[in-house]
Amino acid sequence: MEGVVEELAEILALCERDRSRLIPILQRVQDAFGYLPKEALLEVASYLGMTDVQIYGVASFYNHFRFTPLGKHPIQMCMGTACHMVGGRLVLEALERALDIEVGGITEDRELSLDRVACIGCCGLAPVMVIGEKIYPKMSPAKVDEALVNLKIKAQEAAKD
Amino acid sequence: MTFEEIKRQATAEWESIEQHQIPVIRIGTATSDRASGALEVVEAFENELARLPVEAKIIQTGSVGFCNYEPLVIISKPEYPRICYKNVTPDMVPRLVEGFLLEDDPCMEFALGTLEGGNGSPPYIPELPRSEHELRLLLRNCGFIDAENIDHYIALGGYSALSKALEMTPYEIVEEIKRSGLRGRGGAGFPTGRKLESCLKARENPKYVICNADEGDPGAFMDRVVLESDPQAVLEGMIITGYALNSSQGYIYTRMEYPLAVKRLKTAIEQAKQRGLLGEDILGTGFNFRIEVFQGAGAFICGESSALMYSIEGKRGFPRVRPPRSIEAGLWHKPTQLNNVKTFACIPVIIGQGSEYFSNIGSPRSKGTAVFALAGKVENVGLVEVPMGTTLEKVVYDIGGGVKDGKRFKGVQIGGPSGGCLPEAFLNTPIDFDSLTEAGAMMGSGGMIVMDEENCMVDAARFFLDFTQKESCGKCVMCRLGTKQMLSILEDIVSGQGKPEDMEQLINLGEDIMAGSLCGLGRSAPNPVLTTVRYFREEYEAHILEKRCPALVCRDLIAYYIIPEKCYRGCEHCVLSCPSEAIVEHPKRFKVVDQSKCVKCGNCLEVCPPEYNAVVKLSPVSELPSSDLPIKDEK
Amino acid sequence: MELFEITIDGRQVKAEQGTKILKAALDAEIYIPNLCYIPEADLPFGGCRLCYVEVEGRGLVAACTEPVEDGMVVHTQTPEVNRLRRTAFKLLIAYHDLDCRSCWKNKNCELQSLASKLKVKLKKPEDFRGLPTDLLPLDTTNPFIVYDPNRCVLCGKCVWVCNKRNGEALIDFAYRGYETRLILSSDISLVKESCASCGECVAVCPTAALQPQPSLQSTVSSAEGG
Repeated sequence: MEGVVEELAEILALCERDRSRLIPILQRVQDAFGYLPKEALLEVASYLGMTDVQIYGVASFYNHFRFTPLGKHPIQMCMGTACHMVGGRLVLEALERALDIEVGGITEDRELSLDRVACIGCCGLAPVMVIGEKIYPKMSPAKVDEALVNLKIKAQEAAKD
Repeated sequence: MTFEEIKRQATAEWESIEQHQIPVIRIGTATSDRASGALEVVEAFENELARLPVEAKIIQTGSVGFCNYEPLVIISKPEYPRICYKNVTPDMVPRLVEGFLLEDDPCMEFALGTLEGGNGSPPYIPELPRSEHELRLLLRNCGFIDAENIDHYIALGGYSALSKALEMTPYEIVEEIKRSGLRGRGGAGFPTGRKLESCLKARENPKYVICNADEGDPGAFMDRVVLESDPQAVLEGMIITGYALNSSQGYIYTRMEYPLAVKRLKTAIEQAKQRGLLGEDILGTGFNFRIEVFQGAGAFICGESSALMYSIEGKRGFPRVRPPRSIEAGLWHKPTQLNNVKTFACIPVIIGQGSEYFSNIGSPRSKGTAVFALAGKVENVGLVEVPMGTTLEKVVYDIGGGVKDGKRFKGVQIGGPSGGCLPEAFLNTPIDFDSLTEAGAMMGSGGMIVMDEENCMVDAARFFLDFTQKESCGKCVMCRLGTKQMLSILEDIVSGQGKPEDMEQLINLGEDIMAGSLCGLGRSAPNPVLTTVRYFREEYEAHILEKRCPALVCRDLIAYYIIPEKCYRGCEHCVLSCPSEAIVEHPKRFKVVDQSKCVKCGNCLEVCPPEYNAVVKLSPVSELPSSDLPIKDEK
Repeated sequence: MELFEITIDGRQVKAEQGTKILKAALDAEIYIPNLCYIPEADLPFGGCRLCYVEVEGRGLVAACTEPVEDGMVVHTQTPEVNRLRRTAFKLLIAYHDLDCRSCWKNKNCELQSLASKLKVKLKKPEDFRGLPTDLLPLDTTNPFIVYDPNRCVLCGKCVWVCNKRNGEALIDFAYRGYETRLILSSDISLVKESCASCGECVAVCPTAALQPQPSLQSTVSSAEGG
């Protein structure tokens, strides 16, 4: 994966070379690649004069950092209290069935991935599902199919443009 | 520029809007508003205004916090009171523009009421019963000003507290905050003035100021609303604190799940710098203070102060032992003053209007107001701000509008995963730090979830413990393994494998984890379990001894059943809605749920037409007529 | 440095200001159970939660964390203290691989020693539920050291020692919560000294979590470690 090292070099050049900046640096790397490729971790370690063990130790502590890619359209189900109280878990299970993957997984064509997300603070609209940056309020198992179909249509339209 | 000049410029900008001859349309576009479709409403207004011969100014504001009425639009037309419209959709916009702006029909059928106050003083809608009980002090600007325009904040009184503080001594500032009685709004309620005093006395330099905006409690969103709607108030509080401590560096640690808050904070910082209110040589006094926004990477434990500081240092968020306290050796072992978003937002009020103004509000040992994110099975979901000492009952019923859909109140969870569930008998508990702690709950950061008869308290306890167990940092044995064991017991209980001794086990283990954990997460993780075992023991007993879930929630203990006499027979709604093809037709043509295939999704119950209402939930599973019981030896 | 006088279990003990109760006790040869204590460390790790004691007027405190105060009266064996210690220890062994007979550190293990001191039998507590039935795989990626996560108590001593010896951590914590493990690496071309099997991590490990690779075991006997 040669592209990774080059693109990474550009990103790192903009970052302060201080190990206290590790988390912001990892965030930039993940923003660029959608996840933290192994090569990137080694490069960051080298850049900061740290060991790969230390970098991995920090990155693996936090929920946000991933070591495998997200789907093109990442689906996230809010796991906040209000969402749970009105049946959020049932929506999550409906998504698992509809996509035929488990939470944390990705569809074979890498288009859709499914994860839980920590409370995003829209409790009045529970249960809340997020796809990409769009928030889907007041979800229910019955609405899952419709949402996925609409997503597909929008994706096809976007592909045509 | 002097502060007077800055203020004059800001006031001129504000008056060009307020002393208007053209109407002003305020539309809330914070995160929850956007999720309700606020941006489409903005677009609709823009289109109508372009199309029709009417001039009006649109301001995108933060959120008032009346979440069940979003998108919320406030229209100010000359000669009319300010009118607040609820649940505005793009379809309503032409009517509002033509009817009210072009002609003179205020379309009161769409209105929530008129808006009084604002302009720097706590706003309220007199037509709403809740207004009698609320005091929107911290939230005074939310939904009213453009959060991305510092002039609005300044025109309504912002930064006059800073200007005043810069002429006080650090000691005077600390004394004023002590006199106000302000206690930390992040959960523990430690007296802020005393904390500040200890930090001031610390000998080492440099000193740091950190705002904990890592609002990790699931179900809490007060801090997010403040950051998205009135970020300058937080900045001003931090700058005053920095001045008192002779610190030159501040951090705002926000969750990465709040991208709009991060964006508005960064804009606010830039604008404050441009006005000379932040950065180098603040208001010409030679005082320098920088604020950096640091985004968390997703770890609830990083709301714990020592873990938060390690995170800023680029490390894993493992809390550390105390001593030393963070005010002596915090960020990079230097004295650090860490406070919650709302605590910092209180400081300009205290310094600007005086400690007495603040201490006159609230109860003897808890001064000021409490801001809650009220959610769950309540009518008026959203932000509530009341003087400390207001009872839970007032908040849930008079302000919250009571339990939704006519259901029965069961309990209220306060303080998130570190807090407790209080039953009906505790509704007359006043909201203040000490009363709530005595009752077994916790003020916490301000999340308040109302539960009704359809919520299972055992499931709620399991939900919270599942959360804290997953978010445990793993450093100490008690929390890492103790919460895991407690969760295993709870999972057995909700799946019908509970044993009679489980309640004692949960209590004993819970008490040990509370006494023996290293940090606040572990020490408070058993709270939801202990309070529910204490106050809702019958529910636990039903789960364990009868394999019954009274609220009909725990899926291994419930079954969906179609009542043959009520089933219409000609209708196929339930069959079509079932994701696992578990509904079959009986020879007599009514539908039957095949329990061996049922995944308990609830679709059939949702889609069965209300005139038939043939689908019910039963618990325990043995209640099912024998023909419906799961066929275990299929195939 | 001021010298304080404190009482531990009725005995008068002198200790310098700033000393933690645990050190004062151990120096006076009064035993307080501990697993993650490193005498030379500046900041106590505070993870094992075994060193609880009762301080009159204060209640239960962790002895490794609490500094002495003049006139302090400490009790190391009260019912409350013993209850907390036993719970912490039971939790530790409940999630531990207790097949001692096949274990490299059999008869030389801190957990066995603690079990006898705390009077707790080394077997899975009967009243505990949902305990893991499968073992996690060993980590054999490091050419010199084998890591057994089923026998790791996450005391942090190896991480501290490695940091101290090498200036950088070649072994560190990864993941979070119940999933926390150590990671070692053989891909360490970036540090001044690669892991040259100084053996300090193995030596300091209280259990069999860290062992030398079998091919090297003849040169390091378990009796020398610990």
